[in-house]
Parts: sequence; structure tokens; C-alpha cells
Amino acid sequence: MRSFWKRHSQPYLFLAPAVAVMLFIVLYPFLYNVYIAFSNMSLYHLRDLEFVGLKHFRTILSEPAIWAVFGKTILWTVVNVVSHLVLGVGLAVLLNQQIKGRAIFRALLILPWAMPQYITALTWRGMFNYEYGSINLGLKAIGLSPIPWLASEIGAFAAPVIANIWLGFPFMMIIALGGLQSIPKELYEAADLDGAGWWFRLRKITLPLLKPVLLPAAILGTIWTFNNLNVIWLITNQGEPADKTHILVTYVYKAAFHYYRYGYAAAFSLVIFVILLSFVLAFLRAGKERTR
Amino acid sequence: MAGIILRNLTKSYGKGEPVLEGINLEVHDQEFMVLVGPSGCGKSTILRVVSGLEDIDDGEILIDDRVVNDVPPRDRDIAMVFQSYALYPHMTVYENIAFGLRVRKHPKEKIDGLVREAADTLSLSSMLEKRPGQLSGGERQRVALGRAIVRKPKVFLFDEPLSNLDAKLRVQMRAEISALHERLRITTLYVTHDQVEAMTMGERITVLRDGLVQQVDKPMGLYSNPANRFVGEFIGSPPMNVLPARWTGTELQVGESRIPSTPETITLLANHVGREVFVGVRPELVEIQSEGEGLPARVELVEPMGGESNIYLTMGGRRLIARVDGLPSLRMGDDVRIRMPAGQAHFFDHETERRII
Amino acid sequence: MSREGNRLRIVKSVVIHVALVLFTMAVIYPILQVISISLRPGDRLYSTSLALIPDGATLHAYYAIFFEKPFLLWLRNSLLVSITVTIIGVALASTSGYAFARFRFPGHGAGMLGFLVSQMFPATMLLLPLFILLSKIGMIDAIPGLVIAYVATALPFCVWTMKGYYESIPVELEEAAMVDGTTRAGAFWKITLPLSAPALMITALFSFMTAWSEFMVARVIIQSQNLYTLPLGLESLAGTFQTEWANYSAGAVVVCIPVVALFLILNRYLVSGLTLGGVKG
Repeated sequence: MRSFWKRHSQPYLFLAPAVAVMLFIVLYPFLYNVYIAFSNMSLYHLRDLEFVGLKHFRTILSEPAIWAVFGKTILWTVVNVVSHLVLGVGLAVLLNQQIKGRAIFRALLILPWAMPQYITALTWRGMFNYEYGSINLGLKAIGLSPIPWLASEIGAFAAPVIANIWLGFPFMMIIALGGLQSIPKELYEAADLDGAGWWFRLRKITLPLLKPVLLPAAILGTIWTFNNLNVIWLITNQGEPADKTHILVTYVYKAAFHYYRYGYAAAFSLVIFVILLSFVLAFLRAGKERTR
Repeated sequence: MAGIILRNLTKSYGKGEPVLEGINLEVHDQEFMVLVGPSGCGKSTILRVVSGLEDIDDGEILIDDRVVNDVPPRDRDIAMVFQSYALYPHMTVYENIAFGLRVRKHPKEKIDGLVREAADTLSLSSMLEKRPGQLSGGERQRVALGRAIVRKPKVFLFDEPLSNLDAKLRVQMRAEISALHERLRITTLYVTHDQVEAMTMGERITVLRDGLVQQVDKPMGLYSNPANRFVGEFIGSPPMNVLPARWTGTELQVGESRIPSTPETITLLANHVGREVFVGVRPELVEIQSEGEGLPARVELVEPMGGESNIYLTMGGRRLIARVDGLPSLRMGDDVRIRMPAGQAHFFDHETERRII
Repeated sequence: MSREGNRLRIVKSVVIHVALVLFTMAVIYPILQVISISLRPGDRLYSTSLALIPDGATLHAYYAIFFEKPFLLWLRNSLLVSITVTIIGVALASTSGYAFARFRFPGHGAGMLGFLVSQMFPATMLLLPLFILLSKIGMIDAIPGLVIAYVATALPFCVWTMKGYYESIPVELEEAAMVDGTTRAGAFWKITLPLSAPALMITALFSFMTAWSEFMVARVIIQSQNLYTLPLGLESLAGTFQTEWANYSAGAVVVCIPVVALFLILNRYLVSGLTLGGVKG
């Protein structure tokens, strides 16, 4: 025992403050969340908690509305991440060439990411306003009829998607730019000599060599998009119309803090976490296999 | 009396093979002791253990007759020069050298005096305000030395300090370090994998292999009386020729040929009549003749080194190296005769590879 | 190169340029919108004009937020929270990152995995229990409660970044310091930390940004108006039924200036910083 301490005292002392903090504000809440998930905690049952077993989980898996929310979340995530990647990589490829004013473009195109999300979300909400938002004003100006963005179910889903694509592509762009810079020029020169066109170069050189850099970024992006509260919440104004535009995380947030269904929300959080974890693991495994 | 005594040092990493197995070693006060051996022999480990940067599983370490097993590096009164010099990149040369003194809270004027004195000794006075990034390899090396000598410690530890320098600089620094030792007379433990470095710098040399001490002796002692085949082959450049042979009792039978021997050898090898042995002959003692008496061999390569030449030969399927003066008129493919004086050969036991005579 | 090939190249270049310019203009349009709205005079708030510089542009909204609205109060609260989170975040990340980088100890692998996994927690996973726990100990609707929540969110990434950076500093430097006369902690303080300045800056920036620009967590924990941070305050201006758009936009512009400025300055280090510690996974 003493030699264990002697050998390991230093790292543990260095870690002690952080570990104490992490234990109290990460691990303990996490375990407490699990505890709540199996209880009937809500606004009416704050102190007199009962163990309800898997009741919440059963509710979650059986409500049809929830499957719709789940589907929307998947759609939300996929559309966003794919758009981010396509836009980000495309722009990075363009910007990696000798373009005049490259630095200015880069600086300007980063701005959506640089600004605080809540501000940009609120701004986009304003832009999607039926009467006075600039998007509909613009549509009217070119002779098209205005779209009821935030009042219809589809519109209220499309609006945050558009806004989030705008928000998220800079991150991918930056990552892709960094990755592009590490691709040796000789590869392109060799391809040129062989008479390869730009599409071929993109598919056979650029994309494969970008993959190791893009994969972690894509995973991060997926996690962030899947878990994004700000955009949907603020643009659809808490799930309007009629709570139909929720994704999983906003739905849980509302359940917890507006409907006070604490036990239910805690259980739901766990479910979301497990879903996300499985996705990421599957993603990683798929990525690894293809490189083999 | 600032000697180093190692008693029964044992160390393993995790559950693997032990890196050090019961090492016993004594470095005398003011001595320049070199630890030499191939990679993985444990020499760097011994150094790090003496420095206190790593622990041992068993045994004792004494510096200046004080057991220091549980004493942290900063209290052992030692200084160390690392292979990569480990200069603090964010400090000037002056601050690098002064660091150890500042940490120990010496008064400012005293520090200044000591730093300048050390810088002067190593011709660094003009570079005190520069940063390591602006210095050449040799200059960085000297700053590392300056940092070590300024505290006037009891023991110097060197961890292959010259490996990162080019050949010419290496020779130059060797001389400088030896001269420094002559001046300061501080007990030094010096680790290297280069046996030439060991031979030129060491007052005594410890040859290590696989965590065990092979031999401790003065340079010439290792050269003339290697304790086993490994030491014989390791020390000396070009390396000693070692051939399997049979001792008939009166002559040495190497392959098909026989080499006559001296009366002393016959007496000394009395117990090994009829047995297999390894015989070692230094390249300088191998004589080459175009014809006449001797063992038949064929020239494979002639390597002129200037004042001398290395001749690579094959004899009975075995490789031999001979060293001769000047440049003989030999060519690749020539058939020649070799003579090896058995009286000056080294004999090693066939199984233990230990020296017989 | 043939004249045709040359012409093709020029056409291609022009097309790319034009496309980029159009795209970039579309991208920065929302930002310009915010500035534009902030300049709108009071009687034209609900305008249907698409002009970027409105008729009768005025800086009244900026005056209003500073002197008529509690913008400075929100600013004070945000600064308080953000700076505290930054200090705590850097202190904790620099020490624990060091332990993970330099030592092997039981719990090392689990710890690293834990950091990674915690990145995947949905927002409510920690928020809900933290909310309940903080309520129980009376730290709800208080600045310290918010600080705690933010540190919990930002810490894993910061530890990861610091660990990655420490691994690029040779151990020999610390060993030399220990032989020279420092303890391990002394070597950390005098040698490792000064050399880790870039990573420390990234950690500080990330912690600060997390706290400064965060809305959803603050909304749950803070209820009293006098404790509103900037995000909460601004959102109240862009409320559901009555939108003080001009004031809100003015506030948004003011909030974004330092953030964007910092971002642009550190633009260069973004890529290297991200690949150094975090993204490599």
C-alpha cells in the first residue's frame, strides 16, 4: 500500500483538485440522473420519491409521437452534417487555390461560427418572420410568394436547418483547409501528368487523404448537431407550432423545465445518450474498416 | 570522498524482464568512469537511477558514503548532461546556467560571479544573452555543460552527450570534456554506446550487457585482457576476430588448418586438451602474405584508412579482418596466406565464453 | 500553354471568383442585417424594405441599451461568470492535463475515456440533475451555480487540449529542472507552464467563450432579472410578443465585436490548436 502511494502520489496530487470538481459536478450528477430516471420525480413528487422501475423507459418507447421526434432528429442531423461537409470541403478546395483575396474570404466565411449561437439563432428567426423577415421580403422582391416558415410544420423544420447549415459549415471548412494543406503537391502534379481531370483528383486524391482529418471532425459535428438546443429552440420558439418541431434534446429540455416531468426527462436523457454513443461507435468502426 | 557505490541494483519495468540484475559497481572519488554497452544493456537506466529520476526495486545507491535511495534528485548534489541537452528554450543562456543556483536561492551577486566563471571556462561569455534556439549544436552542448559545472556538484552524470554531434565536433568535445575533468576533478559517470569514446575518455570502463556487468577495468586492461568474448569483440576497432577452434593440446585447429603455439600457452591450456574453444585475435596481429606458410584465405575487400588499411578476408567460410600499415598491393579476390600468433591470442571457453587465457 | 487552355483557365478563375463573392455576400448578409436593424429609427421597426442602411438611420438603439436598458448590468454579470469560469477552468485543466500526460496510474485509461464520453452527454443529462442538486443546496439563481455548471461543461475539452500539448514538451526539460534543484511541481511551474502558453490561451479562450455565449443553461439556472447574463438579457429584448428589434440588434452588435475580433486574431491558431489536442481523438 505504501509503495503504491509513493509511486502514484504525485499524479494524484496534481489531479486532486480537478478530480474533486469532476466528481462533484460531472460524475455525481450523472449518477443522480440515473437515480432520477428510475423514480417518479416531478413537480408533484419532489420529496416523496418512489421507485418506478422501467416505467419511464416503457413510456418513451411506446409513445408514437416520440418516434416522430426521433425521426426528425435523425433527419436534422444527417441533413446538417452532410451539408456542412459538402459545403466545408467544397469551399476549402476553392480557397486552397491561388485566389485573390483568399484571406478576406476566409475571414468572412468564418464569421457564422465566430458569432454566439443565440444571437445568430435569434437573428435568423427574425429573418424568417412571415411579414417582415428579409427572406420573405426577398422572395416577394423576385416575384415569388412568401413561405410561412415558422407557422407550418415543414417550414418550421426547414428554417432551423437552413440556419444551422449557415452556422456549421465554417468549422468543417477550417478543418478541411488544414487537412488540404498537408496533402503533398506532388500527388496532384503526378495526376496532372497522367491527364486526370478535377473530378478524378477530388475523388481519388483529395477526399481519401482528407478522411483521417474529416472523420473526427464529422463525429464531433454529428454529436454537436444531434445535441444542439439553441438553434431549434430559439428559431421555432420552443417547439412551435404546437410542439411539433422538436428534436430529441429540445423535447427533453421542455419536458424537464417546462412540464417538470423530471423522472421522465432523466430517463429520456439516458436514452438519448445511449443512442448517440451507439452511433458514434458504429461510425468509428465503419470508418476504421474502410481504411483497411 | 564523493564516490558512487551501487550495491545489488535490481530493476524491472512492470512485469517484464529485469533491466538491471544485481549490479555492483564502485566509482572512486574524482574518477571518470564510463558505462558502455550496446542498446538496451541498462547503462542509461543505471545513470537515471543514480540521478534519482527513476527508482530501483532492490539494492542500494550511495553517493559520498550516503545512502540516497529515497533522496530526490535535487538533494543528491549531482548534475546531469542529457543527450538532447534539455536546455530551457524560454530562457537565455545566462538564465539556463543560473537556473539551478536561483532555485536554491543563492544571493544574486554570488550567482552572477559563478555563472560568468562557468561561461568563461567554456567560452560562452559572448553568448549569455542568446537563447538556445539561436545556438549551434556544439554551443548548446557547452551551455549544458555550463549548467552542470556551475553548481560544483559532487557527481557529474553524462547521458550520451555527444551522440547528436557530427563526427568532427564529437572528437573536439571529447577532448574538451576530458580537459574539464582534469581541471575540476569531479567524480563522473559517463554513459555512451561508442566504445571509441569509452576508450579515449575513461579512466576506468564498465562494460554492460543485458543488465549485467561484464567487466570493469582500465581501458588497456579491457583491451588486453577481456574477461569474456563479448568484451573482446566489443572493445577495439576494428573488432577482434573470434573463431571457433579446437585445442589439440599442442596446436590450435581452426577448420582444416593448424596453428602452432607457444610453451606458455600449452601449459595454461592444459585443462582444455581436446576441447572446443573460441580463439580471439586482434586485427593488428593478423599477418598477410601472398604465399608461403599460413592459413589459406581470400581477400574480400580492401579499405584504405589513410595511414592504415583494413583488409576483409574469408577463411574457411569465416570472416576475418586484418589491419596493416599503409596500403598493401592486395586486390579483391586475391588468395593469400594468414598467420596468427597463437601466443598473443585470447582463448574463451566454448560454453561460458569466459576468458581462459 | 495553348491560348485555348489559357482562356479556359481565366474563365474558370473568373467563375470561381464570382461564385465565391456571391456566396460570401449571402453568408454575411444575416450579419449585415443585424447591424442594419440596429440602426433603424423607432418608428420604422417593422419595415418591409430590404435596404441595408435604413432611412433615417440612427444610433439611438445603442444609446438606449446602455442607458435605458440594464445592458451594463448584464455585461457585469457575464464578465463575472466568464472570468471566474476561465480562471477555474485553466487552473484545473492545466494540472489534471499534466497528470494525464506525464504519469501512468490506475484510473488513467478510465479517466481519458470518461472525458471523451462526457462530450456526448446531451445538454439535459447533466443540466437536470445539476438543477435539482443546486436547488437543494440553494445555489440556484446564483452566480456560483452558473459557474459550476459551466465548468462542468468546459472542463473535459480543456483537459484534453492541455494533455495533448504537454505531450509535445520533452520530458527531459522537466528532468533537467529536477536535477537542477526543483521538485516535480517546481519543474511544472517554472518550465512546463511557461512553455505551454499557447495551449493555456486556447483553454482560457474556450472556457471564456463557453460561459460568455451560453444561453440554454443560463436560462434554467438564473431566474432573477438582476442576475441576467448578456445572452439572457438580449433574449429578453427579442422576446416573444414584443420585439425590441433595434435594441436587441444593437446589443447583439456590441456583444459580437469582441468575440469576432478575438476569433479573427486567433484565426491562424485555430487549425493547429484543434488538431493539436482535440480533434485527433
